[in-house]
Amino acid sequence: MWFLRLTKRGGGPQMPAKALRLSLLSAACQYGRSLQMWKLGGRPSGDEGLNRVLSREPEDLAMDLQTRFDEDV
Amino acid sequence: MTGRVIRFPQRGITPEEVEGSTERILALPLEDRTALAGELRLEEPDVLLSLAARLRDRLDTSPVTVCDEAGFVYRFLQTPERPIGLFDEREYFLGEFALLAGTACRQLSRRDESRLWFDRSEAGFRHTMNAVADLSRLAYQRLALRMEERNLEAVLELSPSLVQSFRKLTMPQEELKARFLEGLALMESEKLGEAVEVFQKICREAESLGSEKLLASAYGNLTHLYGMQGDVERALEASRHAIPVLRRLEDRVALAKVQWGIATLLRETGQITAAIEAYREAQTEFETIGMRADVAALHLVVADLLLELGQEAAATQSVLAAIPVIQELNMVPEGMAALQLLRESLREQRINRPALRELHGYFQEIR
Repeated sequence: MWFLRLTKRGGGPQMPAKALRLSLLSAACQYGRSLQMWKLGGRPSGDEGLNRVLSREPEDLAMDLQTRFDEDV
Repeated sequence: MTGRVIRFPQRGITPEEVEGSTERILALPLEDRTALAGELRLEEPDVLLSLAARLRDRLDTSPVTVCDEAGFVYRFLQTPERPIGLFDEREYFLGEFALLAGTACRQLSRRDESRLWFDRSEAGFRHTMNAVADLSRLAYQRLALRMEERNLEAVLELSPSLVQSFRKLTMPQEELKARFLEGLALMESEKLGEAVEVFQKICREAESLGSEKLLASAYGNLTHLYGMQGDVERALEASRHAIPVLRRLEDRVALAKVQWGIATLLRETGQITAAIEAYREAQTEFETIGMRADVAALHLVVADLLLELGQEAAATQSVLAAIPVIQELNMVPEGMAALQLLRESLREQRINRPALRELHGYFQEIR
């Protein structure tokens, strides 16, 4: 729902959906992070990898993911 | 945003419900809305999106209404702080409604208010996930404001970079709008040939994009440019492309400007009486829309033509009608000397024509 509304912003659709991929990844990372933090209730996870991911800004993580996708393409 | 807990989504509302809420909100007086916010679904992002679209469509028809409506929604969202939608949606809507209010104020020549709204818009857009696109749309409005303040050098310097930003963002309509500014700045700088080329190119691209509105507006500007060049045939041909579409789209601002263009054409071809009539028609239209600065500017142009016909008393009336608006809106800070000379000449009951011309030179191409 959020992404659908994002594509309609500013009287859209102005930008092709593909150009909004980074925004979608950022939102997904933010959402996932928020859910994990809620599940952990403020305690660190036993999974060090997860702790590392959670310590990063969602936007940074999204940029990394986008770069990886671009490389794969 | 780190650590912020995001609300899980609720059931979305249907397009019919969105439409119904939008209609009810707009039909209700501003002061009655907050108490009924829940019932009106004023906090629903889909409804807010629909409201923003509706107001955007009215910018060229009724900027006064848009300014009031957008200002209301902005204040409703801002105080008390309400959670709206998901992720960045609250910030986006704050930015969007402030942008709409600022754009409407710009159209109405309420420039200080416009600047404040643009600052508010920036404060919202800075926190959105697609900030580059949102801030670029804001940059366009800020540059359009500079255009109206006749800061031509800045517009010519900055518009190519804005065009490039929109191109990178694959926002072709916005890219064309930014090129309008470049064309207008060239027109104001009296580089008429270059401006014609810019607008002809815009016409071709607007046509290939299927954007009727941009195409008609570009033809509207060509009407004016050909009018300034005294090219009757081309000016009328351009106006024939512009007028029917603008009428259908109810773009009253652009229609009034085309009318202005036709009046200029009549003046350039020596048809003074007909030109005065045409300027007055444009003036009436601007008056209805609430664009007082344009009404005042046209008063000066008409006064100049009345002097041409030897009608000094009518010309004086026209100048007297313009001066209070020019002062109130602080329209030409750079033309204060000419304004002073003009006022003094009125006291002596003989209009200082060079001062009048200098002053309306500042206004003539403000569109």
